[in-house]
Amino acid sequence: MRHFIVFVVLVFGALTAFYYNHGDQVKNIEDKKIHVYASSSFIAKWGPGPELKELFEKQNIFKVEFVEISDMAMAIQKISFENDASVADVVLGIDQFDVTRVANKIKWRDIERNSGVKFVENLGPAAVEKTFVPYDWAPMSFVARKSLKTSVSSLKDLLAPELKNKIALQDPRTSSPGLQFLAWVFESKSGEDAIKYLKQMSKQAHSFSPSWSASYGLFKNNQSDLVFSYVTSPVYHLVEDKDDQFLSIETTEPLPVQVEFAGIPQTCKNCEAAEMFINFMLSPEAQKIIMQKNYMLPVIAHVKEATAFDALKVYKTLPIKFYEQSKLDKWINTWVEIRKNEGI
Amino acid sequence: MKEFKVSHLLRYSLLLFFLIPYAIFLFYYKFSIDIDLSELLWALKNTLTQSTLTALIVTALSIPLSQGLILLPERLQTIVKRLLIVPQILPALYSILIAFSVLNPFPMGTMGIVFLFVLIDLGFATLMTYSVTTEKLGNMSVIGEVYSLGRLNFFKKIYFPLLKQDLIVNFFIIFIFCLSSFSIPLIVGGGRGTNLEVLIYEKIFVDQNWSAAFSLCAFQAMAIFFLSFFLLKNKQKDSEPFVAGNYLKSYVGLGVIIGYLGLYLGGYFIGLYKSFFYISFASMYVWDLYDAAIFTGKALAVYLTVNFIILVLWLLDYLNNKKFNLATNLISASTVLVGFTLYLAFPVTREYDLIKMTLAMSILFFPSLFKLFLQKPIEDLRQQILVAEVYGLSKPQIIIEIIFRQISKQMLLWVSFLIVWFISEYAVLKSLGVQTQTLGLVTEGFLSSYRLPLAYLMSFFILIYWVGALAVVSLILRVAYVAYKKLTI
Repeated sequence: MRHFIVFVVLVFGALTAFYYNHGDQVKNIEDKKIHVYASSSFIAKWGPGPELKELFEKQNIFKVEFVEISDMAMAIQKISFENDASVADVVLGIDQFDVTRVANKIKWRDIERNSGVKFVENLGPAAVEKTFVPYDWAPMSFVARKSLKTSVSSLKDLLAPELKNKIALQDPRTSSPGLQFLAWVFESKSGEDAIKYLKQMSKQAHSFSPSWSASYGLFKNNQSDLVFSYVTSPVYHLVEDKDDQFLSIETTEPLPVQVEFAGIPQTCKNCEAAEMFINFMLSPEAQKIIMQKNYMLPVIAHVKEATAFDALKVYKTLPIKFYEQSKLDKWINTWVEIRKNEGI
Repeated sequence: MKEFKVSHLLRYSLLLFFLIPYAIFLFYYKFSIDIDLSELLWALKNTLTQSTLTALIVTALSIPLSQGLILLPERLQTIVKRLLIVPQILPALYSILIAFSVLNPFPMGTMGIVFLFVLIDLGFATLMTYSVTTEKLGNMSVIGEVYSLGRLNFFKKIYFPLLKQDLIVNFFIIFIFCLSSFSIPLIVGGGRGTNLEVLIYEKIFVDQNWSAAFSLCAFQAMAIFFLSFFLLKNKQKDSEPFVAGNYLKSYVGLGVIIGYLGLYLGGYFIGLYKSFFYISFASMYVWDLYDAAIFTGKALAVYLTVNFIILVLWLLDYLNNKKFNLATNLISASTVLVGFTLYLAFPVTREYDLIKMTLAMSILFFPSLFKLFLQKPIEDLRQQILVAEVYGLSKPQIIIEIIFRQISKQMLLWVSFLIVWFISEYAVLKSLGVQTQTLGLVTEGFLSSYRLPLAYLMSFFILIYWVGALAVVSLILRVAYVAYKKLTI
């Protein structure tokens, strides 16, 4: 019996020692790991995530672990619930509207940037934002096939009878591009004109999809002649599909701009490493990866030279703004009313 | 006394398992009833319009279609039956793409939603009507012919009086399918197509008003619960050998079946054919696909095991109480609510993926699939179970030797739906925050980028995977049964 008790104590002791030793190892690994919350398209094999991870890990002792998020609002809500237990060190994919609408649900750290980073001029106030760092951007416009017979060079041209039910748009409540279009209309036209235009546009719309991808799928499926998308979309088809039959339309009205930001929640665990990662994302190598994989434009100068993106027109763009929540709510409510009463 | 307590514990534990999402919500949020009545009535009106119209059209069409099916020789009939179920098992997004490739421009709004619902549910409804026709009409059609009743009189005096109750059940099954549908009203509905499930989604995502979302979820769940509890009851009737008389054969129905399958499968295969030109792109993702297939396989094994355990517990509960657990009526829980409550409750790391997936999918799919495929066949065995109990057979013996043995075909159908819904699912997995790639998530990745053709190829791969998984599961069940027999003998 005594032997048995000794045996049990020894086994138990060994297991306990292993557990604590293993626990220390896990802690050491965790100390060197940063958790980066990003969208599936960023993390996917074809996205910039895997290459950025590899390059960052080569240059630093820290390991990157991506955590996929499907919706920014929900991800931030979860970080808020978890509070100190949250593992999020970096959050990617925050756009101008998220900054106003959801980012205030949690506290963020100010990010110290490496000196010498020279942002492209178009970014305006986004470049000097202390809490959120821009890492890619692109003007947005309508994308069409070159075979489109209707000539479109302004918002007004989109109301042509031939384009009735032929324009794929996004729902501004659920889709950032959808909200970009709404903001574009309100920025380009005075209040009453904008409302009148939206009413007319609701007759032209083929659909208001819940996401950019759904609307682009409709366009690719020939359900619509035009889709509101990024001006870089035709570059994707040119590079990946070797198809040069798509074009982005330049309008007389300056185009809205979508900017994606990175932020560090106050509850981060490896905060300095997180800051290193964000600064790494602003390096020319990382910017090139983001441009080529995310099909968005780089935020620093000279990166797109000698690439397919260099051939892109330089579009006249609207200044980037962080809209007030009340303004966005007012625009969205107006759109909801129009859609309920006038549109599909 | 002890047995009484254990049986009650089992009963309430099973019920509570399916109420987990609601409990999590109440843990995180202070609940207050928050319903905007005008908004609710508006969404309810849309929901009822879409669901009633679809259920009416589908149930009505399923009658001639089931008679078209009866015309076919047995082997061909088996193939056509399998094909008819395809629209129901393919993810809704494929049906949307197929409908878009068939109808250009597609009628967005209520008409578009009803068209898609009909496209998806018609095959399944046909099989249900075929099933009750062959079960309940016996040789009535032949007798009608002998008495020269005439087709119209046969339908008026025999067909509808005998099948009325079953057709009403079929109507409500389709009605409930449509009632809780999410992706179709969201994508093709437009402003006037918003149904209850889309309103719940909007409350969570757009307004972040969880109280309102929960109130709507509770309202929807209760509505479906009562529908299921009071209306989805099958009248029991001993089966008689079915003889297909001429009154039950319809060439028009057969023509519609051919047209329907041609439209759906033709649309699908055209999309698939075009995607094969992109197969070289797909080769870039072979290893990702391999990893996803392996993980999906592991997750599927866990999921099926858990569902099998729930089924056994469910049957033990049935044998204890002589009626099915109330949770059998918790069909069509809100996918948005289930997904996001579990997302909030569990850490977003890979280690928890399996638990989250199994829990969510079991809560969402088990009650509805049980009710659809297993409840009635088990209820039909009531007499045999009673006799077995009188002879002193143990509960495990009754479950294995009487229930499983006699409902093996229905169980295979049940398992096949569990498998295909699990492996092709991505919307729930996205809302759960699952970090490991599954076949469904890989498909979603292609769909949400510019890579639509690859998503089509994935759908084909999923179909092959489904057939393979079903074959493996069927083999395992057979081997397990033989082993059980050897051990018990």
